[in-house]
Amino acid sequence: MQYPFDEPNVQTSKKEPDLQERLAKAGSLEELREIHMRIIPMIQGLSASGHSIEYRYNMLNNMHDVLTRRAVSLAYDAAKKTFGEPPGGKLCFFSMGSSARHEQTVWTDQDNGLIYQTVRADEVEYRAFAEEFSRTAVQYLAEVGYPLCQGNVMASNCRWRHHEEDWREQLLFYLNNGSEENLKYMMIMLDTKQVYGVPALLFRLRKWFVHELHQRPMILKKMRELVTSHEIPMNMFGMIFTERWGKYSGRFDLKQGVFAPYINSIKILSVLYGNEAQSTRERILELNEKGFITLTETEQYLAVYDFLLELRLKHSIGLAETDDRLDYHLRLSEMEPKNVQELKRIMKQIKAIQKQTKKRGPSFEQSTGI
Amino acid sequence: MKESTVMMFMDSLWVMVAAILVIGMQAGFALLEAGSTRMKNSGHVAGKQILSFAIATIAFWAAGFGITFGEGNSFFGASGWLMHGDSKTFDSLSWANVPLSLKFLFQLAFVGVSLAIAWGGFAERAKLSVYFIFGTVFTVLIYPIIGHWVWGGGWLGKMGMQDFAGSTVVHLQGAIAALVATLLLGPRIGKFNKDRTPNLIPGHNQVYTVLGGIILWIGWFGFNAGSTMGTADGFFGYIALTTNLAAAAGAIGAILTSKLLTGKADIPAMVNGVLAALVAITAACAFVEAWAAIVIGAFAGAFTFWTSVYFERKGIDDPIYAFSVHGIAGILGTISTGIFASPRLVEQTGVGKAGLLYGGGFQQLFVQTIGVIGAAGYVAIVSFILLFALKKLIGLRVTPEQEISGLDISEHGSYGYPEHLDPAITQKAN
Repeated sequence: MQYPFDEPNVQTSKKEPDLQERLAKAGSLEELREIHMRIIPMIQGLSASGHSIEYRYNMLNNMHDVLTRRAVSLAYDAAKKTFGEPPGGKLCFFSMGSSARHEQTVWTDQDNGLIYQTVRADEVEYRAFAEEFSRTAVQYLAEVGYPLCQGNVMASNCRWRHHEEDWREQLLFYLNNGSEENLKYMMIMLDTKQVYGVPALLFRLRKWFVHELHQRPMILKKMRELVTSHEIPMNMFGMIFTERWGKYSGRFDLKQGVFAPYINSIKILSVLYGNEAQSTRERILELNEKGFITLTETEQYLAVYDFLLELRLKHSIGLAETDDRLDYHLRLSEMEPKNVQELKRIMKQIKAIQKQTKKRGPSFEQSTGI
Repeated sequence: MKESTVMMFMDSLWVMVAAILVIGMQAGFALLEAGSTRMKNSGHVAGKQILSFAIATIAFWAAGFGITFGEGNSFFGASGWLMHGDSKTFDSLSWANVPLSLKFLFQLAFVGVSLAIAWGGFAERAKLSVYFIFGTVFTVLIYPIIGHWVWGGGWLGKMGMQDFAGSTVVHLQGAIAALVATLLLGPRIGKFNKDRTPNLIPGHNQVYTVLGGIILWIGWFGFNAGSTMGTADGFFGYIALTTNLAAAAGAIGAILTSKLLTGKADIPAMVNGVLAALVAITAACAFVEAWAAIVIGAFAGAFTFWTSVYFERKGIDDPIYAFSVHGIAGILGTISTGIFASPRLVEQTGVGKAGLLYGGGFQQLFVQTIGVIGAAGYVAIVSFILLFALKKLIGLRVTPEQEISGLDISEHGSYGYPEHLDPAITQKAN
């Protein structure tokens, strides 16, 4: 079975016409890997020519989308070769996390899953095919330059690869057992984007999941508590906490310290109000369009977001020559004092946003526990 | 019964109780250190406390007591070996109206504490043989010299140094030895990464650590209040008050500092804050007003938390933060009387002069500073010479294999927690 390959609308810089052409022609993992390695000069060129952070992330993520889709497409072909023509069924390979939110930096690990649908009689055979395809896709993505997820949130892990019905069963289990771990899994499943295959499978699952979620106000409440209880690592005098132990001792964890709490606050607000946007920027704008946040708040939220994106991107580019490209720990002592001051100001704003998030959304006073 | 007989009876009873309290601090150290180190070394760390006190007892009786308090010159006592001598031999202790045997027992308890502090720097990697050799030399050649300088009629005592119960004599000495040891031994395997960033090696039982801290807090009433070695004017009650106020302030100061600097209210940090405050008030307990005890305790608790983080970042592996808790706090406490010593209390104790805050000028501050530098310098030099020689001759450290398997099994042949660490034992039992 062939699936249409939708080429995203990649807007490339005039300074890098070559990259777009090469990407369109790339037919092997080696070529894709080489293109991946050339993302940095492209982004640096965009920075030098004064493009906005929003534009640079759009460019960057469009590149990632094409690279990922190409690698997964090659994996599909390879799996087909191994198993022959796949038996009747449909599948959708999807990404999660920063990829789904369209905010990947230069270096990013994998977060992906697979959903498939089969005629019951073929299930065993198709399941084997789905497994082989997922395993190959994850391996190919790693070869192109997307390291394996340390938390094993990947389609090669059976937790993240299911038949459509099993996905619903799995999500129902999470919905009916609101442990902290299950809440985290559900938070992950709120950011999904089709990479390869039939988008409708993912769309239906997500629609159903969000609907079921809204039938369980206590779970939504717990999710909001989970997100807003994350402490921003800064004391009342504006001192930023750095890591005390480990290889990042003395450094500040940008991802866990501020980025994730901020992104999750916006995400949960969006879900609480029943919005459908997937990227953080769109979520903020949708919240404003529907009147849930004021224009001033919108501007503030976007300014915080852009500052964090800028910081992440600069840091990510600086990791090119290291062995630890997924590291998000900043040496504050090496940052310009004005940037550290700005970070502190932003952290105070994120604290305030968390407080606002605690009060926002539907009232859960009448809700019953699950 | 004559009044003097009753007083002697009362004083003796009090000193006996105080000695038991201070000797009981060995139990506190056993729990504190074992709780703060790993399960595979727990039996060793706790058990060596008994060995340490045993070595101190014999060595101090044989020679240490004479060098500390025996008649001699300004630098060391030169008589009173095996506790033999007439009334003149131990004249430096004649102010206490109790039998010589009790004076010995009480002073021995202090040596035991000082030595226990020193072992903090050796924890989890030193050979057992080093404990025998260093323990003996510390009890005979290191502790008694400083003890003599301050309490045995030596030059620091003559200058009027105020160290009521031993912030310098007991704690700083132990801490300096611990620092020298930890530098010569090097960090534990796995403590630092290749780029020198530190890793957390958590203690195996925080409850033990807390219980150890509480036992030490209680023991400190014997340590400080007992140092009056008399009951006549009830002054020991006041000392108990300043001691307790400082400890309380230290706990609060440390836990708030931990929360402010790291975002977490660390429990072991709070315990260390209590101990740092107690160490600091040990010199000052008889010289400062109650409010000053709170200031000293709170500052010591807070500041030593910061220094413990600082030294760790600088690549020093001090497993139970002995140098910060006993060394830095010992310095702070000793210096503090140069600032906070109150005229009325100085008059009552009859040692030194009032501090800077009360118009006493810099005189007492100078004496205290000289005392700290002199004591720290002597202990550092002698400890270094001895430990360096031991390192070259027999080695200070167990082999990496022994360190990894743990000192319980490598040095003693059995685990402190056999069911947890040796599956074969559980299988046999089943």
